[in-house]
This record gives sequence, structure tokens and C-alpha cells, in this order.
Amino acid sequence: MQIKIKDLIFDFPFVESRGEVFEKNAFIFREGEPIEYVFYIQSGSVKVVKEGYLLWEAKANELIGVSSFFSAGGTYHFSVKTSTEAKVLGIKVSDFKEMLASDTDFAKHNMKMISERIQLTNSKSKNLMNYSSKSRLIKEMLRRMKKGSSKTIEFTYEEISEIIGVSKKFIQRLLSDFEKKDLIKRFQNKLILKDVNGLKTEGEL
Amino acid sequence: MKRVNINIPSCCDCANSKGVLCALSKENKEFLSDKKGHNFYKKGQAIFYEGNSANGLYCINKGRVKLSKLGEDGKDQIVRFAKEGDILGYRSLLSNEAYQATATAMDDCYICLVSKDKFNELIEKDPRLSVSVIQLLSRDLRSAEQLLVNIAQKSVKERISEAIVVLKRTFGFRSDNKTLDVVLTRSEIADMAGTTTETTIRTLSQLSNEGPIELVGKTIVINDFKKLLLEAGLFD
Repeated sequence: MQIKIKDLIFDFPFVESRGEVFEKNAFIFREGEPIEYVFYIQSGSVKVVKEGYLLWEAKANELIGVSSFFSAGGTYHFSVKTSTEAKVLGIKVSDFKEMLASDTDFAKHNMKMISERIQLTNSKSKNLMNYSSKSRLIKEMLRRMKKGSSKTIEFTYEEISEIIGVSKKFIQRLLSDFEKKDLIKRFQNKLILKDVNGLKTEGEL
Repeated sequence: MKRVNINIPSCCDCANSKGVLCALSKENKEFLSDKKGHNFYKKGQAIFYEGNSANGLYCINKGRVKLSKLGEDGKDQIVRFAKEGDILGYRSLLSNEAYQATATAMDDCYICLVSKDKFNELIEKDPRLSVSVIQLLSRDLRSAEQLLVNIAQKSVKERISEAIVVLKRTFGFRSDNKTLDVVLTRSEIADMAGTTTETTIRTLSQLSNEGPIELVGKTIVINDFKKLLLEAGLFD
């Protein structure tokens, strides 16, 4: 039977069971701040952002800040802000180290978690190497269409620029170009994908 | 075939004092010495291949190793370099997967091998090893995340400059104190920076004209490290 991280964490007597609730879009910590805690997400989801670029999105039952703590420097190497309301439990780094040293299952879980994140990060890098910003933007639009089963997708410049890794201005320019070519239509925080095949051709997908 | 005599020291007497396995207690190092195997690999020889089932953990006693993955276009893509004291294959062992990359000897190498079972036994026996492995994985993750941000946000010139900075930090200089102590092809540098060979050749030539580096055949001489750091968008 697979052991759950939740069961492992709350087995430790010094871990408080009550986390803190953060509102949507609140920072849990910022890049460069000194590390005092490793965070366990009890509910909701958070964005892990480095230099304005979205590295990944973490959900309930995930730990955040472990790699910052163990890769020296004494500061967080990315920022974490909530993407929904989230309940988050802070574990003091000294306690966290003790947890790793005293529980092999907990240590193994962390090794596996970091290994998987490395693999995901490397795949994302490879994806970035193979596609231009324009192709990545179109891929993201098509992904959202597929996910929502609708040609009308939710869209904010801030969020997309974080995902694609280019400025909001650049995204605006690309979308304006797509609109001129009658591939999309913009209104409020939404986009209508008018010509899906045309978009695929435009993005060389 | 000429037989190579290998004289590998016990883990307790290993000269590489900063390796992950050095975190083990003396008793566990003795256990490890007793259980490990070792081998000699000639320059260019594969140590393991991407997709092979992970049978053990490799620890480099002497020499340097290149880890690469086969890209979709059939070309090798360098994942990282490893040197004396570094371990290889640990991520595959921890995630119970096949080796994710091919390891190739860059020099003649002496490498120790710890079987998967013994590695897992040591993880169970010695918590210091767990912490040490997590530290190593955390550094790997941090590098992977930095590369991702660089590819997304840095220009090709910045990425190639940074690749040279990474080579300097990993392999250092030859005795003249300015020539990189590693020789890579332009295609390998392109893989590191996430760009094409053609763009790499053009950018290296541009960096050479502007002064921070000099190209002598395949070797790279760093004339102005501070300027190179600035070109890479890094500040020491």
C-alpha cells in the first residue's frame, strides 16, 4: 500500500495540525527571503515562480521549499503565491531535517518527489528548446480549449506571460497579429479560437 | 586486449572527500567497501545506456563523465557532467525507473559500483546518506529550474556565455589559468545552451571578437571572466 505524505507528516508530534489560510494571490514567501520553513499544502493550489516565470503549480499534499533549503544559500530561490485560497502548514526547517533523519519513508518520499520534479522540469526545458514563443502560446491556447472543451478560453496577460516566459507586451503583440489574421477574437478576459487549424499552421504545430 | 590493473582504495581512504557517499559513518563505509565492485572505462566508453534497467549506483573515483539523452531529432543532448566523487544513476534507483541518460567516460575513468539492493540497504541504515542524497537532488533541481528560466527568458548569447561559465566552474582551467580544462564540440555546447550548432558557432565567434573569450581550435580560453559573467547576465 502506498504511504501518503499526509500520514507521514502528521505522525510527528511537533507538527501542528492547523495550517494558515492564505487568500487567492497572496505570497507565501518571496524569492530571496531567508528560509525558515518548508511548507506543506493542505488544500488549494499555489504557483511556484522564478524570475517572473512559472516553474510549476503545486496542489494539496505537496511540499514546497525543500530544494531551496537543501541547495545552500539560506534563501528561497523562487517565490510562491496562491492561485486559489489555500491552507498551508509551515514546518520549521530544523524540524524538517529531524523528520528526514528519523523516518526513512519520509526521506524516500522526498527523494522521489524531487526526482520527479527534476524530470518534469527537464521535459519543460526540452519543450521550450523545441518551440518558439509563438508556438508555445498557441499550444497553451489549444491546451486550454481541449481542457475546457470550448473554443472560448479564459485568458489573462499576466498569467500567460508567466507560463510562456515572455513579456505581456509581446503576448499582446502576438494576439493582435492573430486577430488581424482572423484566427482569434479577444474580449474581456476571454479569447475565442475562431480558426483552430489556422492557429496550428501559424504555430507550425 | 591489454588488461588494466585497477587499484581502488577502500571508501574509508578515498581521496574524494566531498562525495555523497562520504556522508556515511565509518562502519557503513566499511560495509560499502566490502560490497562494492569497480571497473575501468576507456575514454569514450559507455558506462550505462539510457533505457537500461537501473542495476546500481556508480561513484567516480577518477575521471570525468558526460551524461546525455537522445533527443527527438536523434541527436545527443547533454544533461550534465560528473567528476571525481560524483555519483551517477541515483535518480533512476530512487524512482525505480530505467536510467534516464547515457553515461560516457570523457577521460579514462575508474568507477565503483554499488548494487541497487546495497544502496537501498544503506539508505535504510544511515539517515545521513538520505539527507546527503536529498541535498544532491535539490542542487540538481535548482540547476534544472535555472536552465528552464534561462531558456525561457535569456538570449542565446547570454545562454552560451553562461554555458562557458558553467564549464569553467565544473572543470576549471589548465595550468595556464585561462584555458578551459575540457574540450567540447560546438554541438555539445549548443546542447548545453539549448540552441542550434550554427547559432553557437556564430555566437562564440561574436564573443571572441568582443574579447571575453578566445577560440583556439576546439579549446576555449577565457580572457576576461568578469566580462563573460556580465554577458551571461550573472554577477559574482
